[in-house]
Amino acid sequence: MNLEGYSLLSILKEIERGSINVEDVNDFYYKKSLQLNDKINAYITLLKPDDKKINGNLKGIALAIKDNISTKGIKTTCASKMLESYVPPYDATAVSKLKEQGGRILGKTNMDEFAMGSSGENSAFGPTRNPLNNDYVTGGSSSGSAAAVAANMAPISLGSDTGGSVRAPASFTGIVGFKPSYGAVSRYGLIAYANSLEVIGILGKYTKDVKFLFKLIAGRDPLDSTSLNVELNEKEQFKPKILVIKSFVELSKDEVKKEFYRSISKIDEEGFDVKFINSFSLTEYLLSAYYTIACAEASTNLSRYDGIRYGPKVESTGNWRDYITKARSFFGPEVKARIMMGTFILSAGYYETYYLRALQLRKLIRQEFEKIIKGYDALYIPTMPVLPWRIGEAIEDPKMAYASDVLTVLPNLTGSPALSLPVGRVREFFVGGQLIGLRGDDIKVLKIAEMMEEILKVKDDGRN
Amino acid sequence: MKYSINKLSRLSMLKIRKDEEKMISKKVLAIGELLEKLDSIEPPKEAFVLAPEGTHERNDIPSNFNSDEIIKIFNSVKDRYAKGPKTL
Repeated sequence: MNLEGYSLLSILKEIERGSINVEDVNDFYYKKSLQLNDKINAYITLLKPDDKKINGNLKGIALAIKDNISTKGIKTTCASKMLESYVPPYDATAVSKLKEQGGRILGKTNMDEFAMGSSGENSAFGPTRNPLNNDYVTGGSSSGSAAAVAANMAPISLGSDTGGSVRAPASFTGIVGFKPSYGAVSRYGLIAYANSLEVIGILGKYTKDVKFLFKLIAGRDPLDSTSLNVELNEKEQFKPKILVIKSFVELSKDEVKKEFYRSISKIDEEGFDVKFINSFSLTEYLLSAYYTIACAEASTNLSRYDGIRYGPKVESTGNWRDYITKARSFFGPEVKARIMMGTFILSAGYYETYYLRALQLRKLIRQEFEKIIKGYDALYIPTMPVLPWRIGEAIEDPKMAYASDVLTVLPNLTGSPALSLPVGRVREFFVGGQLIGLRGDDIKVLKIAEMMEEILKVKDDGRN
Repeated sequence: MKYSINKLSRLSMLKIRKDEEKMISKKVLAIGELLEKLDSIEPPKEAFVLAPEGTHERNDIPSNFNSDEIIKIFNSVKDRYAKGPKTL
């Protein structure tokens, strides 16, 4: 059986009809993963799915889960030496919901350590390699979740998105990545990095698969006080009103721009109402606000890895400070850099200059976003300003990696739903286009993406 | 130097190995450059407020929320909670 290119929904339909069985489906993805994992490095932990009969919408299909989402009895490492042998005693709410709906876990996917990174190179278990060209990065931080779907090593996967961590790898590997509204999916069991920004997201081959899974995991959870119920009912067919901010597009490389503008012409021809504005006045401050808040929250959240509460026990003959310093040496360089800057930002004298100012700026960004999007269904901009880079380049030049987040951090600062879908091709790679809606308009964004997919047919191989 | 690796690592209780030093310095400087941009703006006093539980309205500041009151309380306790170590 060859399921390459098949959508999750078409597989479920075939199982329903009795033309294939779920054991063969799981076997296909498991064997493919065994065969490719040495090359791609998408999984940190791979599990052989059992044959027990499971009922529910997912019919027993095994899915890939990012390794910072807690899975009861299965190692959850956050791609860090710090949690190399950590086995959570409970499931994240998103995982419990998938299990209740008949889902299994195929494996835990590689990622940037503690979800810090845009390339998938900052893992203690080695970089994830792009299935489209193994010398290039997959994008991160949900690198393994994207690579697994793109390389047919999983039918669909869960990731997490703090500043573009689902959408960036989706764009670099040519699949669909969806970051729901902040709170639309419970964060209970998601190992915290920057909790006011992050959300569990979904990566799939097609938007309809992503929408299907989103409806299964969305909703208010008493275990996460920031969670909420978003509208899950779909509107009838409508003519989408799309807004394009030229200054965002202009931040992109020429080859990205060209494909992006081509996609606009196509949707415009097919009846989308596309309008342009010149700029977003706070563009220059997006990364500053994002990195200030993310680093500050990281330094607080990661203080629990002290060798006492979490992290390996260490031998130390010194005082408590020596003990903690030694225990924290298990972090990798990216994590150390962000904790250091976060601690600096929150220290006396700098709190007001940086952290408070970033929070105030965040409010202004949200206000401007809500003002300009009024009257439109979604904002449409490129996902990444560049194509994937060679593995190792960003380590030499971290500024480049941080700058590549410029188009993806906005929805995390505003709490908006955002989706990346392939809208063009350059050589062996894809160009991702990003739709951003108002907080709570998740289904509307997914619906528009489905309509665009239908028009652009960038990946249509007839099997979806 | 503002972003001295030695000072920052001591402040955050992190040990930096010799082989990591160069890489971490580059990353710290790159983030530092982003921070410096915040110096050039003067945003309004009120901080960002997360949406309250159970709502997803677009203007999601609840009607009984008095930000002046919160800021007043915050100012009275900020020395206890908001300030970090004074070692830098």
